[in-house]
Order: sequence, then C-alpha cells, then structure tokens
Amino acid sequence: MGKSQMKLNISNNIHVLRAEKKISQEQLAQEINVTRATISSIEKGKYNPSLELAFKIALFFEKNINDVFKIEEIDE
Amino acid sequence: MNKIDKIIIKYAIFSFPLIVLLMLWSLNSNSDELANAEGVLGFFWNTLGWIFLAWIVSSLYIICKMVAIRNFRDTILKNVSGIKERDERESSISGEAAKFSFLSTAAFLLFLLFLSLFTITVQKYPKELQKPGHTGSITVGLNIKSFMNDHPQKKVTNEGLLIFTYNGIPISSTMLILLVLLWQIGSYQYLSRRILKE
Repeated sequence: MGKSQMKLNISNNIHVLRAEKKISQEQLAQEINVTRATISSIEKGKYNPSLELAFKIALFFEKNINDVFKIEEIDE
Repeated sequence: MNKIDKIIIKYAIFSFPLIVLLMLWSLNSNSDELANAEGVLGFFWNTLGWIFLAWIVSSLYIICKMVAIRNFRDTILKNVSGIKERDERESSISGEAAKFSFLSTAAFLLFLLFLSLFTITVQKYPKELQKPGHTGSITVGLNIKSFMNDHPQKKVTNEGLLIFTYNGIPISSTMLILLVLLWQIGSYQYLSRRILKE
C-alpha cells in the first residue's frame, strides 16, 4: 500500500477574535509589529505566519495557539 | 550610515542634473573654446567642471564602498530597488523575488555569453572557385577573446605626450559576462553555505 501525499491546511479565526475585541487589522498589525497587509494575508489564508508570529498573535488575544490556528490534513 | 556618507550621497544625487546640463552644453559647444573663455561664461564652465570632478570622485567612493561594505550596499540598493522588509512576510516576498531575479539573470547571462562566443560566417564563393555542389560555405565556431584592444602605448600627440588614458573596462564582453555569472553563482553558494553551517 503506497503512502499518500499529506498536505496540511492551516486556518485561523483571527477575524472573529478581532471583531470580539473590536480592533481593526491596522491596530492589530501595529500591536504585533507587522504590516496591515500581512494581517490581511494571514486572515485570508494566503500566508502562513512563522511560529514566532503565530505565538505573538495568540498571546495578544490571550488565547492558546490551538484556539487561534487550526490544522487539518488534506490527502492529495 | 554616517553623516559624511549621507552628505556624499546627497551631493551625488542633487548635483546630477548639473552634470547632465554640463554634458548637454559640451555636446552643443566647442569645449576647447569654453575652457579658455573669460567672464561669466568661463566662470560657469569652470565651476561646472569642478562640480563634475567632485561628482566623479563621490560616485567612485559610493560605488567602491557598495562593493566592499555589505551594510552600506544593502541600505543603498534596497532604497534604489524599492525592497521593503518591514516584517517576515515582506522578507519572504523579497526572498522569492530575489531568487527569481537571480535565476532569470543567470539564464539571461548564459544566453548573452553564448551569443558573445558564437560566430557564424556565410560565404558565397566566386564563380571561378565554385565546384559542383560547393558554391559556398557556412562556418560556425566559438571565439574566446579575453581583452579588448591593446592598451595605448605612450605616444606623442599634437597636444603633448600621452601618459595615461582610461576609456572603460579593457576586458571583452565575453569575459565580463563570464565574470558576472561566476560572481553571481559564487556569491550565492558562499553565503548559503555559510548560513547552513551556522
């Protein structure tokens, strides 16, 4: 039986957490020292942040990293 | 970047329009007459000449420092090429763009290298030299030339003894392309191996 190619899809709920905290993408970007375009790209799933940045985001929202980012396996 | 470097760079940038003005003026006038002119015209010509000399010196300083000092080079060329690395995503984008630029430039340089080496001659023989089935020839070859024309020797001209002259890089286009290609690949290999060892 052959091995299937495993690909990970990382999603996040940053836009929900932002809405709860009532802050804009720009404000979040300034808090964690990135550009607004980076926050937008992360929310849309176009860019996966580094471990450090992912932890910074989770710490800002005072959440566990697993509550902010979700990983699912996709078989190719 | 220290204050002196900032002053030199500003001078090189802001005096450039005057250099262009000087070039246009010298193209449309007799520079020998202007050099010997008196009054306001002579004053302006001589002043522009000194400005031009200072611009050459400052540009040479900037270019040599860019080759030798990495931080200086990165600061200047990042501003010139519009590279922004405000966060990790922009650094990643910059890396991808740099990789594309490196690979496409290397491919283009290889293409230019081949074009500079390649020779082709198509010849038709005169009727008296033609044989049945052999009316001409096509010659294909490779021509490797390291240097351009011979360096000028000391010679006496109407204006005096020629001691030194510099008219651009004396190596051939083939060697120049090859050197740039080797530098590009070599510098990439060197830095990537150094980072891997860390």
